[in-house]
Amino acid sequence: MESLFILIPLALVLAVIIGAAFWWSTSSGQFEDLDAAGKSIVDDDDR
Amino acid sequence: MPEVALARSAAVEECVGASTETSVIDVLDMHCAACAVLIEDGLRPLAGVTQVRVHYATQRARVAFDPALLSTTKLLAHIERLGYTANVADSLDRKAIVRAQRRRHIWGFGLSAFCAMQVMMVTVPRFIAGADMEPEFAPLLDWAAFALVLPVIAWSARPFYRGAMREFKLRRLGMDSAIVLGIVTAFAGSMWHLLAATGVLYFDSVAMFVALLLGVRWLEWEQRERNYEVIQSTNTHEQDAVATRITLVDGFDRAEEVNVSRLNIGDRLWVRTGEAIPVDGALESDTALCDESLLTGESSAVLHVRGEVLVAGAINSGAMLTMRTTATAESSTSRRLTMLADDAVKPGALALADVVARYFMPAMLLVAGATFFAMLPQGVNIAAERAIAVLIISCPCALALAAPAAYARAFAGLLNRGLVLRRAVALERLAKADAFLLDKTGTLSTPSVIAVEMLRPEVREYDALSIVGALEGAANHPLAAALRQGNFSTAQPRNACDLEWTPGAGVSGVIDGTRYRFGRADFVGSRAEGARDDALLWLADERGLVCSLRMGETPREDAQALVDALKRRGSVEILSGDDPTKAAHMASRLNIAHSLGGHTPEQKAIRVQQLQREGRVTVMIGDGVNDAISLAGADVSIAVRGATDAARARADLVCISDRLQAISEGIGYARRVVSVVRLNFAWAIAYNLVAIPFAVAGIVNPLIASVGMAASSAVVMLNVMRLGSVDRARLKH
Repeated sequence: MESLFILIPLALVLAVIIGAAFWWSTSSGQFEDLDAAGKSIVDDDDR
Repeated sequence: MPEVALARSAAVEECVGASTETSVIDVLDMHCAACAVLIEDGLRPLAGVTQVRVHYATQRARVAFDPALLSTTKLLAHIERLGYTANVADSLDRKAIVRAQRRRHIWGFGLSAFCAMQVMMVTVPRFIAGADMEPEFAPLLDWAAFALVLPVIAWSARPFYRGAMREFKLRRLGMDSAIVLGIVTAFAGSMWHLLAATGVLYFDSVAMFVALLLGVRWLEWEQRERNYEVIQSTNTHEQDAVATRITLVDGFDRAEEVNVSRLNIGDRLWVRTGEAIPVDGALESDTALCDESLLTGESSAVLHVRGEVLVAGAINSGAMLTMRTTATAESSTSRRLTMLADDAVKPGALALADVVARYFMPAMLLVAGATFFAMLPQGVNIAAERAIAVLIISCPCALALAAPAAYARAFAGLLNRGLVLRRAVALERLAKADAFLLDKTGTLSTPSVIAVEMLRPEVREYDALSIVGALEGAANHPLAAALRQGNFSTAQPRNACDLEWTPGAGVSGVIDGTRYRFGRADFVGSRAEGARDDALLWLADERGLVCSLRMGETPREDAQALVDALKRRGSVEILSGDDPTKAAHMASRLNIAHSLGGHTPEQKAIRVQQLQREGRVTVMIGDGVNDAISLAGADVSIAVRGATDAARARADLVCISDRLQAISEGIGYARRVVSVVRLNFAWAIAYNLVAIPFAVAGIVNPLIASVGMAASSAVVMLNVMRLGSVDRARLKH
């Protein structure tokens, strides 16, 4: 059970990394238009 | 005579001096209906402010003020002081702001939800193990929970702190104050327990509370944004208005219909009775009477003399006037836009929401405080836990959202159906409506010329018709529009001057030095055979009758469908200024049992009052200048597409769709909105009545309380979403 002393801090570090990744994806606008990518496949014009 | 004019212009100047100016201001960071109340209350006490209306759905504030005491800049500064960002309407790149707001919502909610789940990860083992946990692990898990809740408290919850600051500045207990109080007490209590290494921690509750609240707010924000887009795309839709431009050809005025957006500065325009001033300009006629109630709140008509400024959006309530433009449509737009929503009166449900936002929170604090002191004998821990649970579970959000969210949606939903809701109060009445009064010509039917009979052999039919077309230049009636255009395209346009229109009777004017009269038999003084036949209109000059025109009318395509739909909801009758037999004829064609014809505008209004005295909720559907009074008097007034500006200005709802059925669909929709609002209130009240005693009794702990609270708000939002989605595509009718 002593492993918890390493695992829990490790989980915190992971949380920080995931948080940073989420921040990056939000600020680069990845959640802004969730439909466009899906609709692009049925779009006729090649843009 | 010059003295009179001078005195008159001095009086007008005095009037202008005491009059008001209106500013439209964008407040893009309003996050709930309570914010609208907050800003209204913050501006109202300012010296010089005569009227304030903050529209939550459009995120706009409309303030009428005395320019001598206040300026737009001062108003902006004051709103900023209240803690909001304010800008003159349409001055900012709204898209960029919305994008930044959306990112903030996603990030705030995402971070808090992620942290909340992580906090659960480390707190759940403690709940399950309880006293069995080896003592050295407890601090490890507790401090990990603390580390994970920190970003939520320090970052995600910031919108609530800002909101609480605003409320503090206004010395008011609002929703944000309550939320912050819940966060702070729960967090501080947990910190105390963490440092003392005894007692229960509420970090999980705090994180969940913040995450769920942010989630609901994000949901609400997305809804409102979508509504705004629909509203916005309709505003541009409204600007396809036409104006009558006149140009001097061979020494005579010639009129042509021009899109308002294509007017230039210096153009001369005709503005007929009942039409709105299309752009700012200077009056060229000697005098003009304008109804400026929409712009300034001034209820009686304002008299203008030659050379004075006419403001776009004012309605010509006197005779036809001539003006010269001093601005383009673009520079006068904001005034035209304000015509769209004129809701100075709040609907009962929204007013109730304000009251709730104002009194619910103080009451809740009292209950929480009382709970704390009542439980104190059982120990500080239990007392604190109960008080925190009460603070968290009591949900002012559900109550405060119940009506505004539904109304904001209704606004956009009605637009999708082709109706502009100009006064929100009308929605509740529309749902209860049981008596429908319909105007005939222009509303249910379109008029046309069936036959022309020449009474004087030396005049050619061709000339007579061109004279009629020129005379009708002054009139603002569906028949006049039909006579001006379409029917006489082959006739040589004539130039008329000294035009005068008597609504419901006829027009007169001078063409080539001869005075002509065109209209009903009694107007032109006809005693010819068939003078009693009301389907005939007569043209006469100084020597006598020239010709007669037989008018017919055809019901609009979906008039029958509208009438059938309305009959299912209440009584339907035709209320027409036209001859009784013609009204009765149209009524029988459309299967309407009652019809009243030959009514003057005043008589129409009296009929509306009569029905109201019988306890009926009346809906007047009309289009013309002669409907304006009865539209203003009815419980709900609807102007159909193509209606005169005078009718539209009086109407609670304006139909922008060609389909008459939009009206019956709108009524059905209004009933659904009202039932959703009612259900929302019932739910929010029932939830609080059940949840709060549970929290006081200690049956629910703070974690469950936070879930319950957020769920109650979510139920309200989901209930509103039942009203169906709105989208811009459907606007293209």
